[in-house]
Amino acid sequence: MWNVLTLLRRPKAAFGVAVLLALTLIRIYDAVWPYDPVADVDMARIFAPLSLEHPLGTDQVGRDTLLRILHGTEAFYFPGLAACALAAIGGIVGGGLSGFYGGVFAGTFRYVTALITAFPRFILILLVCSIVEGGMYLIAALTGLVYLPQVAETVYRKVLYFRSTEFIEAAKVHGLSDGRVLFYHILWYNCLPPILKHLLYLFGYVILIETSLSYLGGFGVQEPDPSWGNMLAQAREYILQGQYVFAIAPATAILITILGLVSLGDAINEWGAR
Amino acid sequence: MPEPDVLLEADRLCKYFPVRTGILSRDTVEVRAVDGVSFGIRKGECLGLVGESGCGKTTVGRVVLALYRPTSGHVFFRGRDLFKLPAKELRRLRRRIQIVFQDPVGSLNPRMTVLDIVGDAMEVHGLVSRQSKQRCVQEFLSKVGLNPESVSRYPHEFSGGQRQRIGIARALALEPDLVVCDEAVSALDVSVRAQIINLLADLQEQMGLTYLFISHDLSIVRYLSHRVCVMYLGRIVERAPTSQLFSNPLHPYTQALLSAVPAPCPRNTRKRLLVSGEVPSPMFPPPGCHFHPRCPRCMPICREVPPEEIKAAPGHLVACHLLGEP
Repeated sequence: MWNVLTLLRRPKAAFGVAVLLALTLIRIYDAVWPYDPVADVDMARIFAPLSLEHPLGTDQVGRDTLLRILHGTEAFYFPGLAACALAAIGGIVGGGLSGFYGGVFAGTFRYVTALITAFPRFILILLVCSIVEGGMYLIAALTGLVYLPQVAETVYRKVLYFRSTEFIEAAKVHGLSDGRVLFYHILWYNCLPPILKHLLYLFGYVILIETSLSYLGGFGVQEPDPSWGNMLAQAREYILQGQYVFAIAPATAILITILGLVSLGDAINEWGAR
Repeated sequence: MPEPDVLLEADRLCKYFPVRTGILSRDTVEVRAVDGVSFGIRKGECLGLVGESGCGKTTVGRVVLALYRPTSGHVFFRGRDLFKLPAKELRRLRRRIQIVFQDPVGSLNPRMTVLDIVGDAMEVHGLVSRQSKQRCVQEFLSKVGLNPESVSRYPHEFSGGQRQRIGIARALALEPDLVVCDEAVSALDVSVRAQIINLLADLQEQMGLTYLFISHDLSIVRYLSHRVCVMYLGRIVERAPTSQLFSNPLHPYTQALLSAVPAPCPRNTRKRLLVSGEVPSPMFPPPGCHFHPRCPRCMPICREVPPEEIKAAPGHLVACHLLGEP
């Protein structure tokens, strides 16, 4: 049904898929050859210049920047997927049922999601993180939760529109169950691209939240474990000493990754609207 | 008096839609889309349902399809009340009553292939297996005059007439007894319209189908239907076998409706019966006979008492006080 090849022909989509693929390969590589941040310390090579052995140089205690960037993907990869799963399930089921049946459930659900939307996202995450102890998965769950209303709203509007179209009435007349009509005929066939777009945006948002919290310190990933956020925070102290690559490398990683995710999301949405 | 071969019977169907009006939507007014409509459809016949826009004929069709739950009244399909069946059984029964929509664009899922549009419900109802689905769908496509090779194409690749054929194939695929044709040919241009009408007539003969043919186009109803019901503002005002209705219309509204059909011969100067005024709002239908504010032969009694149906001839019922006079 969804011909993926026609999607990959779009440059934005190809770029995004490449980024996602690279992230996955890095995760596999990192799982096979785990990175140990403590063993990597080598005071003899502090701020080593770029070389074949250290393509992006080393940091203030001699750890390889490239390795740390690669390993930094661990901080958001699986938590990001978990956040997407949470927002997808909650948003699709909640928004779908609200749109399809309406009534008291829809009223309550939409009120609660509006309440979440009304709160500044980052402040909410920061607030909960300062009260509750929890690692990256707590942050991811919170990110998924604050993003869930957007998925739900998109699904809700789509379902509201499609449920009164004639082809959906025809599906009901055919004696199909509500579940099949809603999830297969409406959502699967007609709403997949915008949902995927939101989930890819959410994945990018998880990276942004993770790096922001790690940059602030105290939350997120703690030293000596690397994260693109805490690498940036450290680089800030040395940038005036001329250690530009140390700062530019993680920042570029963040930029390319989020750009890839967002452009893939846009490409999917445009491709679905054709 | 249910006749033995009655396939579907509607008994005093009412469907009111609540509308909120007034400041802060405090008042609820009901739109009486269907207001006490009864009819029976015999197996193998084609019942025409005619009337102008907004008279409630589509709503009748939707209630018969169990898309709307009636405010009051019953629909008996083969003697079983559709709205008293448990949900699961209703779903199973539903494949026996199918619909062909007016709009050939909006009635097909734009992202589904023809194979899935026609075949999905067949598979769900266990009429075909996953393997035999394609062969079965192709069979139905050739039955409605489409190329069986086009199963993997999408609706936008077809013309309007072809799409309507897909819609017909989809309805027939579930082996229905009754097909509701809701303005099934009104959106098509004239040449294609004739093809589709002939297709519907042929299929009826081949498969022993029963039609409820809803239309505002009297010439098409005349061609296809065995019996015709004329609706006005939520009520049936006249019903008769087709030939009798067209040769001897008794209700003033039917007479006006028939005189509005364009004459094929320009020299044929039939007298045009003009009806003045607009259709009253179904939110505030006039008391008595619904047609009385526009009726050229209105009597005092028409303003007060809703007319009962009076038998003018065998099978010819008219709801008009004019016939009640001795």
